[in-house]
Amino acid sequence: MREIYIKSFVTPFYKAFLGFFVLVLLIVGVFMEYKQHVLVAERLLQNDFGYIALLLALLTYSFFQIRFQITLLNEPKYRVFQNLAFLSKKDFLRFYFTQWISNNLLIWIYGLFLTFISFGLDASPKVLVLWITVLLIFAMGLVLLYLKVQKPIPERVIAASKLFPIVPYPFWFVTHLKTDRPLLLLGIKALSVLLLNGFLFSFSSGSYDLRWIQFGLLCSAYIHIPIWIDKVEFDQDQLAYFRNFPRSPSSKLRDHLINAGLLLFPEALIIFMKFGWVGLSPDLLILCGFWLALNLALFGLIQWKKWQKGWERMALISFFGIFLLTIYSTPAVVIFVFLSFFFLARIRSPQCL
Amino acid sequence: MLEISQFKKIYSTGFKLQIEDLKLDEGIHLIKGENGSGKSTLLKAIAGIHDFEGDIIWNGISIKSSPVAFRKKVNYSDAEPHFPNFLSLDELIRFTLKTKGGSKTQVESLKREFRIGDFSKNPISSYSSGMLKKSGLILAFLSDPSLIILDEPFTTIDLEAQDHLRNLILSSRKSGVTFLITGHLANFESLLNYDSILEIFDGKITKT
Repeated sequence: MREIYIKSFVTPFYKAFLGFFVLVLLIVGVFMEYKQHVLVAERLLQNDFGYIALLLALLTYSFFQIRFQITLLNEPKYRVFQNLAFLSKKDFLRFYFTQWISNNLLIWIYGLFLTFISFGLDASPKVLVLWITVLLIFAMGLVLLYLKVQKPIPERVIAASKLFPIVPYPFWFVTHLKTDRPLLLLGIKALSVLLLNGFLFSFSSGSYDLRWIQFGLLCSAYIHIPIWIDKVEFDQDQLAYFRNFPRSPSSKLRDHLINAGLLLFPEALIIFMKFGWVGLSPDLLILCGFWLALNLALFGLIQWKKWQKGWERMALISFFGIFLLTIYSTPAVVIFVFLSFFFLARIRSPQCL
Repeated sequence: MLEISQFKKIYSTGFKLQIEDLKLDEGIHLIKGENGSGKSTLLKAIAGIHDFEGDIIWNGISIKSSPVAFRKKVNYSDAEPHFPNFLSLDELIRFTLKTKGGSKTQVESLKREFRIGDFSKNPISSYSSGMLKKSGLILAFLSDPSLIILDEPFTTIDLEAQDHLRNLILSSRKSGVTFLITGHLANFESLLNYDSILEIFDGKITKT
């Protein structure tokens, strides 16, 4: 049973928040050394503001984790798990404990680390409150999930918009993101915009040239990978019916450009606002083209390789390839042309919608 | 006895299904109706999957006051079953045995009836629509339900499986299980001897 619970309630959680966990692993495992971890932990235990922020972060994490499990239980595919209501209280606790301990690794491992650090400090009351909070989070999730499986599943009826009763084809994926993946869309756009803003802010100090912005756009494009994975799966599963439609590459290109334009315009807008509309230069247009081509090529790469496995390695190689080309001053227009050709070759394939 | 009273289900799309009062004795009951008439909506409400206004009572147990006890007595098979793609039928069966009960002999017998063989070890993602339907039917017959709801059970499965399913319904009926069945096949009404035939039309249900 443990294996079934892990497959059904743990793996999907880590998959859904993969970007977040990769980021956490990068920060705590690559960019920070043990000494820095100790310093941060000591600061969190000594500073009241930091301590409260930590408790709030735990609560936020738990909120998203419980919300995810409840959303999962509402899905038609998970209807069979309504049977969890028939488990004895002991067995339900066993199920809950299995998924909780795995999904909240981050919380309790960091809790243990803080407890360890607190031995050298006078922070026992704070550690005690921390563990009481963790215990409350555990109990709250247990009660919410227990009550959830007792009740009927809420029905989701999507009514047609009165303003736009017919949604044109290139808008379907964006509508799907808005309806089914609002958190993914918001999270990725927020992260991408924040990151790009950071690059633009440091660029305005004057110590960097345009290659810095190019690198920023490259990082922002890679943040969009979960969206492009979702698009590949959306095309594969939900639009399977349309796969054998005889569509010309030009109509495919038009639809992909509209779809990508809708998704990517916030970053392009930020670049335009930063440089000013008046100072519109060929460089600016090339940067926007570079941004668009990077994303479309990433989509093309995932679409091409996803079903053969190994696209992750190719994406990594491409990242460092483009990074090196940028470092060695290869003009952005050259990279743009190369990426565009790759994407055009992909949409000529009947596999690509 | 199944008692439905003051049942009301209204969707934002304008669709409405209302049943003032309906009583069905034990037996095999057929519910007919056009596509989109509300058959599945009613069945899912009786199975305790989706909420509704009013009450449904099965052998004295109300779905509103004792939802878990009610659901434990009612099994349901979807017209188009949905299961997590990464689990196998064997895993779904193991989970159902743990939660709803049932025996290994019952599982073996059902797997034999539907000619599942070793395919049940494979993940759901590799199943054809017929295999998926058989999986839903096996889970619906598992454990010890007193009411089995089958939404279009004879569609998508092969002729041999249709025959086995018919025999399974008849033998379960002999041991006291009540059935609510919907269907669209041309010869559907002659497949079984129904104790009552109901028709849903224009948001209302009538006995024919």
